[in-house]
Amino acid sequence: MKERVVTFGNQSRLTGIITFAHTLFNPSRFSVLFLNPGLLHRVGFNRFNTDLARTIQSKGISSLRFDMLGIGDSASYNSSLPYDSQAIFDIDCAIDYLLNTTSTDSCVLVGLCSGADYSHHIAVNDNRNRISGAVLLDGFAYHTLGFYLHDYFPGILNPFKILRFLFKNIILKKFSSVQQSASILQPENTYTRTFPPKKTVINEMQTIINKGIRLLYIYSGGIPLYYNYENQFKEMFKSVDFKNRVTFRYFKEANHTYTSITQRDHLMQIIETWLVSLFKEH
Amino acid sequence: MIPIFFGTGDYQLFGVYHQPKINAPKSHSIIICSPIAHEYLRAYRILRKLAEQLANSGNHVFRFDWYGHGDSKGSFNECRLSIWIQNLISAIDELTEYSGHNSVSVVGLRFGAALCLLASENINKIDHVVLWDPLFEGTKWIEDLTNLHSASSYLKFNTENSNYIERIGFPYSIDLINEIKNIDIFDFDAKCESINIFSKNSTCSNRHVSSAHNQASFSLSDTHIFWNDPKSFDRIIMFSHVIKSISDIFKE
Repeated sequence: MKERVVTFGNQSRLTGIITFAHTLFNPSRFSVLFLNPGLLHRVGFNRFNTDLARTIQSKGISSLRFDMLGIGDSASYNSSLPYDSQAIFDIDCAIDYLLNTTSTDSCVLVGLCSGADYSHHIAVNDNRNRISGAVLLDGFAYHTLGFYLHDYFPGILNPFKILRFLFKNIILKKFSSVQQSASILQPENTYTRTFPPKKTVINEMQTIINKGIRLLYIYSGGIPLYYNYENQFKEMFKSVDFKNRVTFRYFKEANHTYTSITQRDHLMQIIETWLVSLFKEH
Repeated sequence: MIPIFFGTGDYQLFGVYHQPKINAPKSHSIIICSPIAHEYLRAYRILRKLAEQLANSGNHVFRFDWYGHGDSKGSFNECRLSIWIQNLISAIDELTEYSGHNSVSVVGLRFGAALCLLASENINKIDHVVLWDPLFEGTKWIEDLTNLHSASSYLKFNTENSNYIERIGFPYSIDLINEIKNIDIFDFDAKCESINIFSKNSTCSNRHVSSAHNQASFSLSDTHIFWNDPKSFDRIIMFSHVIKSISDIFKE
């Protein structure tokens, strides 16, 4: 297994690990860049990034997992840029470093949550053909009619849930100033997100697809405030022409960070298969 | 800050050396031992902050990923206590090469704290141990882990097989579980000169101080980290006032 600790970027303030493809194989023309899932350092949720990097290495794919400023082992964030702009700058820098170091032509971005949001942004705005694909885990999501049916329908059929809903939203509200959620379902570890306007995302997604970039969207059951059924993706983005370049999956049983080993193994298999098929196309 | 791979072959580990930022009259060499499994992920950020604070006071500091964790080699289901103790010995060798010191202090958080004490039974280079929210008894720790696992609606027990037991997304081998169950830090015969403990667990601490480790100094301190809260088992720990308390120890 060939891995190297690297520091790069302005004053070498970014830290990461490059996993080089096995030379026995004809190496892929693209490499993979893992982005931080939120504030978690580069190894990813339950070490997913490290494990996936070592798995695809044996398939001939090199990768870089790195920390953006203020995360993991990279320098502290004390930039004059707003945090998101700095993150985009760091990713841009990491892409150039990865392509130069591994002698690949383009890369696939892999990001969860904010990492998915950054992947989308980079894929839209890159004008040097450096991006060949993106894996977006729990990326942008918008409510549809189906979402509301799936959110409220189970509650409507369940008298206990109705009573709990009434208790929480009417009785408690009357006696408490605490804001209650409008959802009947109150999941554990609920993540709150803010997304750009749907129309903007639809236009940008079409731009990405028109560039020939392949997209793998995967949603977990851990964001039920935003996404709660299999075909929501299709309905959210029904006006987009996918041109056979978009794949989507829903892991209803998984939480946001794929803690369960079974779910995580399944996720890894899906991404690995998708990357290998992309490799064959290149 | 110098990130490196160290160790050899199948036991290559990832570590970070923090150089002293000032010339202190008495500088220490300090190894930071992280927790294991899901707690390792939660604590990564706070332990980096601790390392920086200690280096800012003029100390040589080294932190590393255990075998089967982070960027180090190995899989979690291959982990054994003996491997981790060997990792700590490698880390001590690495740090003493950087610092030129003959002995080190070790700071351990949660499971890392138990490993520090266990190692100090046999490694004479360790002169001072700091335990932060330590695992006192292995059986209790496994029990808490099982309770945490069962509290999550997303986690089930159906992936258990004869080779490992899944707890919060990590596969614990039966051998490792048995080794952990045998841990009771009151039984350890630490050879170090002094021990500082930061914990809110006063019952255990009294037993501890009154038993084998008469060199221990105990700080009853609510560390405000909820290790066994099902709502936050995957949340990053952003802050703890214990960092300052630990830094102050090495300023004296």
